[in-house]
Amino acid sequence: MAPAAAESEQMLVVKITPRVIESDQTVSWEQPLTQVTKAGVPVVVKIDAGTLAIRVTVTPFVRGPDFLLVVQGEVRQRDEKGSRGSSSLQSLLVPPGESIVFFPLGRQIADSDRQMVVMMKVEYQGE
Amino acid sequence: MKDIERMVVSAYEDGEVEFPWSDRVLKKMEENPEWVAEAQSHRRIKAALASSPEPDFSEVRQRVKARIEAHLPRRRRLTLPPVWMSVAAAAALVLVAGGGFWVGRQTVATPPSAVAELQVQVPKTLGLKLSGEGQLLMASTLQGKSR
Repeated sequence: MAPAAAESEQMLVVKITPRVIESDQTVSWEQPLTQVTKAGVPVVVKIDAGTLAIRVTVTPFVRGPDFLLVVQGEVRQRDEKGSRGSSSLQSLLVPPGESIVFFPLGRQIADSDRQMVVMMKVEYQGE
Repeated sequence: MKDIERMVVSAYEDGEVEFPWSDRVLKKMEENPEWVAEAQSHRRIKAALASSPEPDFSEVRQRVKARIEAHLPRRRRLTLPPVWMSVAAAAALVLVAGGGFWVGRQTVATPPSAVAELQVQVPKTLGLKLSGEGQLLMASTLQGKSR
């Protein structure tokens, strides 16, 4: 195995795809994004969704053969009543290339509404 | 005496066995004279090695160096008139400076340690609502549930 210092210097490819999914599970909108970064350097995605402003910060770290993904979600909702927000901070240990799903607006319990999902994947550059 | 037991005695003699395992090795030595003999043998070897002089490798080093140099390609001296030497030096300077400037420009354009900010816009027609706190999941667990 490569030393930890060499691993942290290796370039990482973060693939992030914000997606809107309808109640019948069809994808009505998506925008694939790719960003090259280094371990510990965050990638920020700002999603402008009308009255909702979503900010997803993904920071990958190398932990042995896996990646530790620290995902911060911040949502601000503006309407006639004013402005309210929500934030979350979560982490997950994942193997390279494993798909991760983030629900920045929370996960819909009832299947009657469309929802926003952010698909994520981290790989070593050149793989 | 088993090989693993010899290794334990060797580690103990080298001070590599920590408490409480060191106590167990001592107990084993009290009960078993074979362990004591093994420990004494280790001590004798260590003492012999410590008292013997450091081997002289200088002759071997010289021979290896000579063999390596015999296989290296011979260097050719480049002799140019003083004017051409100046021209070559100036050209090299221009190349190095130009290359450095170009590399510097690239680094400024994409600093490796900078936080990347990407921005996207969801079509206005797709109304979304906040329904709870953010949730992070492995896609595989989600697919497993939906099956």
